[in-house]
Amino acid sequence: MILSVILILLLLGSILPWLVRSATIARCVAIFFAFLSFAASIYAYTMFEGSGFQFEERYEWIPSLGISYHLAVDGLSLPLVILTTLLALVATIYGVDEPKRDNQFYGLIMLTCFGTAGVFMALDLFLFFVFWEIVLIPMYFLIAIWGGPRKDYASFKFIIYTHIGSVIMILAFFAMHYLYYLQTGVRTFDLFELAKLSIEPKLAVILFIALIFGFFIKMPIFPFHTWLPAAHVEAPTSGSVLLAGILLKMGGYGLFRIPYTFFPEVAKAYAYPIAIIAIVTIFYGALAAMAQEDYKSLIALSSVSHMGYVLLGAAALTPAAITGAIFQMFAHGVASPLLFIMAGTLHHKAGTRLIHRLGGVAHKMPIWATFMVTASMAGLALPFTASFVAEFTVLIGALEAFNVLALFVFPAAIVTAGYFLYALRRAVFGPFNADLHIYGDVDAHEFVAMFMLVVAIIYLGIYPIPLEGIIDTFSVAFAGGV
Amino acid sequence: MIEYSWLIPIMPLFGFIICLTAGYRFTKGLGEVAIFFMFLSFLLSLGAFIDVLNGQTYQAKMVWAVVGGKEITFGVLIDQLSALMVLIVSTLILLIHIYSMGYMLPFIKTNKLSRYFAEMQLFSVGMLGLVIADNLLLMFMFWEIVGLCSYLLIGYFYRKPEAAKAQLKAFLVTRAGDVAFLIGIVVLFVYAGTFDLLKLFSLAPEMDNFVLTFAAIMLFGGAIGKSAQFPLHVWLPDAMEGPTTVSALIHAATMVKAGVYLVARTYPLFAMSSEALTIVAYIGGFTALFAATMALVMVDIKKVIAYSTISQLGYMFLALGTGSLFAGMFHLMNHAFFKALLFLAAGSVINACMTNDIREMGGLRRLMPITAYTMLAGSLALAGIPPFSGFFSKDEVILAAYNTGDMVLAFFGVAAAALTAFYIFRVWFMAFTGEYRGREHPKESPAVMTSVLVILAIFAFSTGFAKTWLEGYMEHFIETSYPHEVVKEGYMQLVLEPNEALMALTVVIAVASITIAYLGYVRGIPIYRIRDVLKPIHTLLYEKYYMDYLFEDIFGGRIGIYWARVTGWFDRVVIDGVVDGIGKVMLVSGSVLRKVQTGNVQYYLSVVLLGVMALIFYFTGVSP
Repeated sequence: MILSVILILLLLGSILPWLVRSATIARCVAIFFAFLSFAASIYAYTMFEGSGFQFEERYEWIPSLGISYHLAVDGLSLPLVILTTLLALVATIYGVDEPKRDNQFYGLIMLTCFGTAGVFMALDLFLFFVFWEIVLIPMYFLIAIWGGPRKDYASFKFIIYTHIGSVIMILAFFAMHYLYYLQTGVRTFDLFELAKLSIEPKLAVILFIALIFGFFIKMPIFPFHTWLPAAHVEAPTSGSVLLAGILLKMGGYGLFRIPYTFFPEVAKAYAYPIAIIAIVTIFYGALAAMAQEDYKSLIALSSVSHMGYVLLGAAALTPAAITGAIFQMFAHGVASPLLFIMAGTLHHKAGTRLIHRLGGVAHKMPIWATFMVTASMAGLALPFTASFVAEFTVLIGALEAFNVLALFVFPAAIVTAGYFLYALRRAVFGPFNADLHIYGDVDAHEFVAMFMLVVAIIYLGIYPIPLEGIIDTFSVAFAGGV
Repeated sequence: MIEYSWLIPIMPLFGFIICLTAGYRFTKGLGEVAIFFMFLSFLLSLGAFIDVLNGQTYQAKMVWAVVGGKEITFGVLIDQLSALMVLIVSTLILLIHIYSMGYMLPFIKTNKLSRYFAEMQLFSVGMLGLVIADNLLLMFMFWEIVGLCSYLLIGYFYRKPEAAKAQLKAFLVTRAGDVAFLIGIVVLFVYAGTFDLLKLFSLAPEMDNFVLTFAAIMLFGGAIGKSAQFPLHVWLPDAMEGPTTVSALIHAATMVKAGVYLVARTYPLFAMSSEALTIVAYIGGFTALFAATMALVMVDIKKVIAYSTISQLGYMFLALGTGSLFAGMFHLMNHAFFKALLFLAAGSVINACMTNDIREMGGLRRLMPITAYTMLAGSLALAGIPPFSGFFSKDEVILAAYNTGDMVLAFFGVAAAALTAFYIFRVWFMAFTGEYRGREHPKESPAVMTSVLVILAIFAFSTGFAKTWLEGYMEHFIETSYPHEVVKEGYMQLVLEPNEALMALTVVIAVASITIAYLGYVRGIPIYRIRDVLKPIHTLLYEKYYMDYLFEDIFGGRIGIYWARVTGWFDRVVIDGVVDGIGKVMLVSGSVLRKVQTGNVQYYLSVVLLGVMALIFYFTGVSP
């Protein structure tokens, strides 16, 4: 029941703000339900034992098609559910950038989290797809209503681009549904059942590619990534928090849950090409990030680079690599939102995010600068941050699987450090730019949002095993099964 | 006490948290807090060291993570090597914290001292943790923390553009070494299945020699970055933009020693591979001479000492590479004290004269006698004049190099010794003798600073006498801690037979160099004419062999920024151009869609609902 409780809490949090009149109450309601759902997910974590799917719930929904409301979590999805509820809390605490239709804003934030949590829990492909599509709509409006100057272009690009992936994905789902029907005479969208399909190799390759295509767009993986910087630059801060924190993880999660579970042989056969795509993504994202002038597009492209590690871990498919990839999803899911909050606060206080128009910000905003340095260190995977544990574990797995090829990934750490620190040098350190007008240091609500994420990042960096333990149990079983 | 040694790095962590959080409210008393916690750390280190002297060793660990079903443990390892190192490090951190109380006062108006002490405390956490870590991964993690603090403290005066540039350079150049280090430990983990040092040592004799050599060279790559060896030495002279206390603590006495300590700590791996040791010896020996040549011509007092540090670290690697763990550690210990002394004395001079340029000093011997004579003690130790500490250890290093029979290595050692004696006395004579050439009114520093100088001068004088004791101590360490095969079949030199002729040669050369410096800079014999004769060489040295140009303009500018711009352009124009192009092809459908886009949420939701229903009907319709 606990999973439905989490979903219901998030859904209530997304409906109730529309019904109240005051913006303040709407925000309080959203924070309250986000907090409850976070508490519920932590409770689920404490009840989670051993490995395999737990808290399973199953109700018939459309029996004639074999569609059911089927939820459960395992070591892959539980961390991401926790991440979703945590970011719901952070995003509602951080709130709206400039007061405008606040009630709807909080409702849409919570609705995005509701959809994402559903994606991570659903074990029925149709239900999965419904949640997947639910996420798109509120995010579209978040960008299109509260976005920056080019919000129409960005929101349209976002919805079209990710929708192309969805369409191809649902076609693959239908194909598998139909094949299962042909083989057994039973209609089902259930993940467990469909995984038993025996599909001839050629068709398996086509289905595998169709499935990973949708997830590659979502993650995003080079060369399907350009919707992301556009969406991030225009999105409101809380929107970016969710976009980077959990929407990208839907792609990484889906990759493991569907194509890699259904077609492990194909995944193994294509390990090297996928690894090369991953390595290109890591370097490409990092180099492109270095060329950015807008802090938000820098962070967006750093996300591309970091999600490359997730794909690299998937390609390697050793237990260590899978653990690293899943942990990287969580680590990036706390580090990247922090960076976006830093950029949002900067925009709020200094009126610009353009690096060349900043300079010496540390002089006027020391608390902000302290958090910014911390966030950048989390971004460049300094030890004692969660990202380090993740990337390091992926690298172990990659070296196990790919030997010499994996050695080429390591220098990415220099490029990553390069763009984060080059931006810090120009924007945060150096002489104070007299043209800037800075309106004070961070506000209390911004501070709380930042502080929560910093605690998560450093706690998991110092002592990862509470989370890493359940992930690794999953990975060992997963790698043994495929 | 030894069982409490895990608290050694925890103590400054409290100091860090207090300085970080209270620093926004309180300005006074933070230094005292930091010193208090460092003093506790020092006592714990001393206690651990005494227990080790009584024959105890200690290892305790806990599970930190699980990777692919393999547990990764973290813990502390206190044996002869780490106990000695942790005592040296905590003593120096404590002394330099005390000195900071006087030194940092003039900056209190423009820069927050809370930030200074918070970062110094975090550095202490990292450095002490690095020393007592019982496995390579934990070492690496603390290694990066000290790198972060080095980055932050170099940029302490971040409003100076040079400082902001230097901190970036320091981080990125050492990061290149760190990448190699990380490759090394990941390779070891994949092949040996553990990060634990003692387990790795016992597995080392059975490991494939190629893998072992590769991993050892990669670990040394990390050491090259951190200990500023050729070709990654370029960051250290620039790092002098930080406060002088930071230069003394991080960039002379402790952090840059981490590379040497890493090689010493993982010595059983190196001792099994002659190729790895040869590389260590050659890089170290070459750097010793190479950096000393640049120190000859610098006019910034801190830069001279910085190049001197690089050179002396080269000596330590030369010792380790030629198989003498004892000589390397001995020189590390001596150098930590006398180089900290030189930097702090230089800091005292800089605060008095308000400049780093030795051409604007002079005659300070009379104005600030304590600084002058303590610095003289440090200079004698560095130059290797008996009975100062540097003499004993440098002699051991050169002896170890000579014993290998490779005269190139011995030449590196002797030639660098000659240059060392010259450049440090060039500085001393120019700063402290003759007439004062600056515009300030220099006076002696406060007692809180000079007392530290005196303590360090006593160390600089006396630590050399510990030679016989340390020889026995290290021998005992090797016997008890290393697998038998490593010592028997490895490439190690245990006890070095004294060689009086070599010893006399190095002393004569050092004295001759000091005499030349005396004649040139005190007696006024125009040896600087040599500079005019050898103009191209002088320029080459003064321009640091153009290696800054190589790193900043070629690697940073031409390759780094250029490729980033190309990628950025490619991303914007080619990839996004294709995407938008496809979008424009669909303009017709787009214009239709735009009419549908009314902005009415209920409308959108009902369309979605209709779609879902249509889908359901479609499927239920065809179902049997």
